[in-house]
Amino acid sequence: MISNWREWTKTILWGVVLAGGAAAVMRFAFGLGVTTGLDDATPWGLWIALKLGFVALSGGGFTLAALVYVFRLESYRPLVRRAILLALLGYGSFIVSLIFDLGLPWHIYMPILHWQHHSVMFEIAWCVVLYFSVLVLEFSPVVLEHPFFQNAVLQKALHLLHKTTPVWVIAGIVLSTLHQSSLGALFLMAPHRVHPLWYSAWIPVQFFISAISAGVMFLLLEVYLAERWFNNEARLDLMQKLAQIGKFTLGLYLIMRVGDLLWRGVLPSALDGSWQSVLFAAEILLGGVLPIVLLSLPAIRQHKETLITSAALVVGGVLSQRMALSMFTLWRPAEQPYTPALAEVLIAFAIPAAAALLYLFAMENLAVREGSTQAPRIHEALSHPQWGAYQDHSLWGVITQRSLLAVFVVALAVVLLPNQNNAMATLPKQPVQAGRGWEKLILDGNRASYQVNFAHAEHQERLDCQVCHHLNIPQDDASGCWQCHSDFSQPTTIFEHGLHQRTLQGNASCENCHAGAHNRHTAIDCQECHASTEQGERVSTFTLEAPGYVQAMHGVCLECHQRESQARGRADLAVCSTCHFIPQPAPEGQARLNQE
Amino acid sequence: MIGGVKQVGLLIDVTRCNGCNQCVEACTTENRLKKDDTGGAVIKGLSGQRFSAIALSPEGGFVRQMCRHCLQAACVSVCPVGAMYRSPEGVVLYDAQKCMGCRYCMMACPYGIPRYEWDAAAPLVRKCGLCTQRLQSGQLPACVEACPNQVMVFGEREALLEEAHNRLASQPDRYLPVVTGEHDAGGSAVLYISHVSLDFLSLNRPPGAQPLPELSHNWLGKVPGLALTTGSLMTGLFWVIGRRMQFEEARLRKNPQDSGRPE
Amino acid sequence: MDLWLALAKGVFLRFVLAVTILGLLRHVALSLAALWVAIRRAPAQSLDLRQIFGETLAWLFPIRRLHRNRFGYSLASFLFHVGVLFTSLFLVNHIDILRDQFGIGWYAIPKGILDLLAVVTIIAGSSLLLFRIYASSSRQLSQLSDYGLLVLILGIFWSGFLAGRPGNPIPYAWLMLFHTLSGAALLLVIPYSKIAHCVLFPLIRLGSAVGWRLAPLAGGKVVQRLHGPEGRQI
Repeated sequence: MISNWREWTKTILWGVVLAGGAAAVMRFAFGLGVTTGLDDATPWGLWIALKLGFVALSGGGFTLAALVYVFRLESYRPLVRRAILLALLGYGSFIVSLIFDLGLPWHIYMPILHWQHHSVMFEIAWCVVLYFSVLVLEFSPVVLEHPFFQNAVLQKALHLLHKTTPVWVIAGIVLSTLHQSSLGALFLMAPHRVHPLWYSAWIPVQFFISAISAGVMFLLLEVYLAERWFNNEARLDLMQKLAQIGKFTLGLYLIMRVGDLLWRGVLPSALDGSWQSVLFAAEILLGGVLPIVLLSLPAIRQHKETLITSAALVVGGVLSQRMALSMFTLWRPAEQPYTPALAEVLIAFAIPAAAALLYLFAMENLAVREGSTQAPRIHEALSHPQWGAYQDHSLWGVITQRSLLAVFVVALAVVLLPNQNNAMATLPKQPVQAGRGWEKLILDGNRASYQVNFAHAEHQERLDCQVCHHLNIPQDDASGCWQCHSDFSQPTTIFEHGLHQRTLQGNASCENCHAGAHNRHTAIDCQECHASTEQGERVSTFTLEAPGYVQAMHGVCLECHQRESQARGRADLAVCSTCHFIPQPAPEGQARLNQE
Repeated sequence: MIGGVKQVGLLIDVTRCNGCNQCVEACTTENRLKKDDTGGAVIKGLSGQRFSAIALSPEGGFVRQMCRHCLQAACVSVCPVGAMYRSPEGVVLYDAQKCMGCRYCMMACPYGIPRYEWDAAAPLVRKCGLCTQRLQSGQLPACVEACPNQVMVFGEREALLEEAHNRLASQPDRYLPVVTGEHDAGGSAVLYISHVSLDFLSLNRPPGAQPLPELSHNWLGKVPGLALTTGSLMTGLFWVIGRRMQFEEARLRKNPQDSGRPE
Repeated sequence: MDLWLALAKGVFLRFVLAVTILGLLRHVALSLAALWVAIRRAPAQSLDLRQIFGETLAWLFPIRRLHRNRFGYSLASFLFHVGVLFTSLFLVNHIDILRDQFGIGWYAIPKGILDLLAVVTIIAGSSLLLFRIYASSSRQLSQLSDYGLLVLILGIFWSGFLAGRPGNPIPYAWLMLFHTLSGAALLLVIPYSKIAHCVLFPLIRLGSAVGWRLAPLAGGKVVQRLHGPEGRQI
């Protein structure tokens, strides 16, 4: 069934899409917290970076439309439909990834109802909606030309579309000019988050110019790859022309980017050898200067392979700028680094993979390429719904094969994606340290000087040890709190089943502890074997877990303090400052302050 | 003064706070916040279920962390749907009915105040609303009422500023000579006076005196002009080039031998 | 060893169960699609669904049919099916694992009854194996996988039964690991072997009800007759 590398590529793309689909189900079922690496320190992550990338690569759409329809440069006409297809898929991917990223995606229509002219995001929302509609209109002639849509009404619509093309093209140019630049303007508001090497008051203009460069270079790559895939000749002269446009705009972008940093005097101080500055240097040198130098050499321009290598460098450089700005170098507290979660990554790969499959479908079935006739496949399948000998029909084979792939990919995704039980494991571990002193214990488990000075000797006089030391390790009668409550905030496991199983000779020993069924509910208490394990009133059943230190300490003290404060009528016993004593300047003028 | 109604505010005297957390407790009760599901851990700092928290300054003071209710709030300015808005009293409030969850407010806030309900399948942005429901019935915000040490004073912002400067003047040894929130990012309804630096409350670095919305308004102001310019430029070019090509065609029709360009 | 056991009860199990369930769903969907295509091509398209349902039930609970076939074989087969289903679905330990992994569970049958049932299943399964080897007609029809699956199931039952018995000579952990891994292997092959009849069973009667209306390869032959040997260009 899978006979050549094209089929293999498609199968792999399908696999990626299916895995992303499984992750997508998880995303909407469990929410963003469990399925992504996003948190309050990183509200925007991989999907935002991805969206900026999609839009940048769509820049070829409006550039080519302007060249062909406004400037009437007929030599570019063979490419204009492909550029528009790429832009359509790019903006479609943008919208799909937006739906994943929004917390309440069913409110996505809200910007249309509630106008907020002071918000960049509002402007972007409108531009995306309008430009996507324009792209659909620009591309729909390609669809309507297909023989399947041969009916009078649709043909009339097609005619109308052909006649009004300039209107849509000019609207598209205006909208994408605004949109490309406003995507950069999103980050103007966050000078505290964006790294100085990427921040500039000129971000909008930089985004716009670099999108032309990246879009054109991406189209160049597409032309070459389509040649390999469909065996149709890619014209070297067109590729060279595209490369010239890309080179020119890239140069403009570089001058503006570096010039602005120099002008403001940021560059010398920011190039401090940090990884961010290395990334910046790589972006400028490998993704900017190197391709310009390469494309200036006639020898490079004479070969498709070298041309597309330079184009790939440019595309990489611009993508790197988008992703560095919006994800890698974005400021976040050092203790809260951002790592995309698996589901996030799966979806991030699935969206471009789905776009690639749609691209292949369009190229195979519609007249996107110059001189190509409409391939009859879809036409035949749709007009003759009665399949032939269905089991050797190619569609049947494809369904069988893809669904088998789906089973394994989705199963794999189910295994690898988090289940909700893991959600709380994200809290950092924080080992507890023993208290210091004895007569007066200084309890400060995490050494944060939020300490409690506990009068141990004084409590010991009045109380039995077991009131507090409720469950001790074998051969001990007053184990330190921290020995079981060994993490500051998380519960910890204190019973080692495996150890018991091993030391009691494996399967012969279950009945020693379990009566009847073998689970935690039927297990006997610890002190039935460990006689020396004192067990106070607090713990009467089999315990697997010790609560976190803070919870345990508050539990053991508060209950008693509140009871005694009631019994003795002493309110001061049950307030925080009884134990958490912090020397403070004496409050003064209390009465006056609250009168306002 | 906004729309004839006085701008309310809160003055926080950091020197008086002993970190007892009773304001946080009161806030949690008043706003009916859930306990964070973290297996019994104590959450330090804000979260989708904590509108205020006691932050420990690197220099050792206890600082109440809460929404500043900026006079020119970045979160209000960036919201594409108006889910973040300023009430007539100058309190920054959130309307869950409009929010689509883009989290731009969280990106824009220089203090990292708005938090998200990451665990929910239909998550909302959560933050302090200065107990607007209580203010309307003439009560003080819950945290102000709960504080045993009178750390906070609630009132009109103008009067609070005066009070703050009075305190700075009367006890210069006790305070750093600055009212945080008077000018920061265009000023905020919540003011701090303190014996420790409050820079650590800001993300990365404290915002300057410039209101953050101005940064994007500079750009947004140019958008209509840009649209108009691009549109008319493109239409003009389309027309001019079209006309010239027509002339060229007509010329070629007249004398087909002449393929050169006209002088 | 503990790690391997934890893996087998955790990650492996999740993967294997997902493959089993999704694989079976796929099988049902594909079979239904094929049946749908077939019935559209059939000259007579009406189906007596009631009768098909009754037939299915009658084969599912073969009380009246026991005497028609070889009685011993039918009885052993019936007991074997009952034993496999009940011990796997209603053993308290299995349900505990499901609770741990997926948070779902249901009532368990007391262990004593299931122990008895396990013995019955092992006896029934062994006799099925012997029948298959002994009777020359079944021997000729059998493939390697028919023996293999039976042996695999018997192995799972033996190891599970012994692991629950203190005092057997084989170490507990070894038994358990064998039990869980072979159980996982069985679950993995369910959708891709004849055990898929656990969900496809209702479709068998439906399939034969549709199938007898069609001559073999009817569609292709008709196309060829009408349009020459190239066939496809209708």
